Amino acid sequence: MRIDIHAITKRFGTYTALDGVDLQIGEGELVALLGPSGSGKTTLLRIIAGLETADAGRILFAGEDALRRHPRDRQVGFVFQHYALFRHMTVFDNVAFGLQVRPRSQRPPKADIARRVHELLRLVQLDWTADRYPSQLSGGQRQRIALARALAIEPRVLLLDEPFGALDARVRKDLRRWLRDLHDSMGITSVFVTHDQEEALELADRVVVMNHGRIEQVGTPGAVYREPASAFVYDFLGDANRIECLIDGGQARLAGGGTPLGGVTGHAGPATVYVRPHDIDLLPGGGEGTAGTVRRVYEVGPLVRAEVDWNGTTLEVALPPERQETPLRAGDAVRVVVHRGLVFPKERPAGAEPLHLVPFRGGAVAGVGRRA
Amino acid sequence: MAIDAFAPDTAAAAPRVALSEPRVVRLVLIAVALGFLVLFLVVPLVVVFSEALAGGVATYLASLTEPDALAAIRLTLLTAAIAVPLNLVFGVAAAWCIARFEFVGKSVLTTLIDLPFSVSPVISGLVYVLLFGLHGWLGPWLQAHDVKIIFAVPGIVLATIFVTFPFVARELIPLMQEQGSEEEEAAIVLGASGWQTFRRVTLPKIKWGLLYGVLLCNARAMGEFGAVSVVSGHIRGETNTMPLHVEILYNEYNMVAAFAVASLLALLALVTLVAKALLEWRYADELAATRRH
Repeated sequence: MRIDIHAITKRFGTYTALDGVDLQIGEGELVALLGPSGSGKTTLLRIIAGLETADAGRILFAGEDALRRHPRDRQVGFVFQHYALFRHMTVFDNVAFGLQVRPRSQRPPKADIARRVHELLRLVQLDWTADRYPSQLSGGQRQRIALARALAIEPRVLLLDEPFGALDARVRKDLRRWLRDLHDSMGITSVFVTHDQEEALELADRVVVMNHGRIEQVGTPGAVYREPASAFVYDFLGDANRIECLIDGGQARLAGGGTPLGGVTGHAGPATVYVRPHDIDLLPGGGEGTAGTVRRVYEVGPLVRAEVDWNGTTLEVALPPERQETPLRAGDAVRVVVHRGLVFPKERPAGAEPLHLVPFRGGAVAGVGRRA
Repeated sequence: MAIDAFAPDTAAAAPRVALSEPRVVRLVLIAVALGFLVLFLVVPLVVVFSEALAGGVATYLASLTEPDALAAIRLTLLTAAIAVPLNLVFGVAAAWCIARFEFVGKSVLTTLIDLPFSVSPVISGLVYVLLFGLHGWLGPWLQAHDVKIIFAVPGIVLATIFVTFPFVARELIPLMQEQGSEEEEAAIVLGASGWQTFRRVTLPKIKWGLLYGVLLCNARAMGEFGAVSVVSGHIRGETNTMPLHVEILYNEYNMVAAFAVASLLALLALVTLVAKALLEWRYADELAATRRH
């Protein structure tokens, strides 16, 4: 089912949780609402479900005004972060609840309910837990039961509020894949809230990045990662080095020492260049000007991370395995090469696209003017 | 969360290592606690029953079945039968709105619920005398319309309700605040009506706290002395509750009868406690399931 969200605004006292949010969610899509805590993502999800009321704006379910309907009539499946299973009921009764509370005229016969519940329990691979209580299950199992319970009412849309937030890392990863497969086989329009960028990028068809009650960017995981629309999105989607620069004559130079980083076309003046740790290379032997000093080296799994002092700017660098043949040590002088970066000028019109940093080829100035 | 199922084992094993008090300390603590219990609870209870039976079983039964005693028992049961259900409804309603909603005057309501605990029961009784008594605010009007509240059953019921109304609410408010309302939200999204949500989700969640509150409320409703004493007027066979009857008999040096009625009151309390223990034992599985979540 298609969901259209128009200018939804929500205030809690003087605090604005949602500030005129517009969003379209297509039939059968799996959309992630991604943002830090307080960005309004959970509030938006709860307004769609009807657990919270909007101060202004409209939400259409397949073209029909959803806000006028009572939450119990919206046919929404909602999965809570802390499962919210009925603790005094068995797993069977939990899953059957949505069918059992229907008015007598719409309630399926007992045998049908039982069949449907067992079907759903098989779907979430927990058929053997029917007679247990939620407290006897692990976190991952509880969340799958919560999902089965939400699916029992044949929802038109599935809403998940930080569904993996309370689980440990291993279980979270398994459950994530499993949910993606489930979505692909059932095709229910789904929206989930997360503050974990990795989760959003891995799981969703489209990612909605939110901040301060507004949508910063909407796009496919690849697009928001590669072409972030704002410094906030860049920062939020992964580790980032923020390098203060001055752009002059088509070149970005460190604000402190004047060391050149790369070329920039179309802007002059102060700017911040955002660079991912793995987009920086460290070459042995410092050349004049671009030299940096290694402060600390530490291994994180397959990557070697280094902290480099580059004329007063501290850089976080992640080196791939093949660069580890000549091991780095603290105190080494290195040549810093920036392969890719995004330039956010200090003064620029709102909504303007960020500029790409044009790298110097192998650190040579000859690369200026060519796009990365 | 994934290792939840093992939590009780580790929880049981860990403190033994961390809290290994010396044997002497443990024994002294246990002795102090038990000694206190015996001295202040068990011995008085034993005295009540032994005094009551001092004149033999026949005298004991006779003093319970004489008309004034029967009237007192009847009045006590009637008062509890009115006050407890009313306070049950009030307690659930108050706990519900305090735990679930934000509204103007919420802190005032929370404080007011505690009022009967902080005010002496005698004052609680006096308030009603000042309101409904012959020289009270509403007294002349009531007399003109031939309604008797003070020195009559309605006054006793009112005073009892006032004194016992915090019990259920006090028991439920922290419980409901701690449990939150996510399960209710889940129920509504799944299509349950307000009544279905209350009956099938909220009530089972709070039923143990509710039961405990009702038991305490009932014990106090039957045992209340101070407030009831002020509004009752001590008319034998008419406005005497069991605690008041005990006092009258005691003042008349009718020890056996006084202790006989007192033993009945004590027995009621013991029955309540045993009933609670039995219920807890019977539903131990379910209790564990609701608590460990």
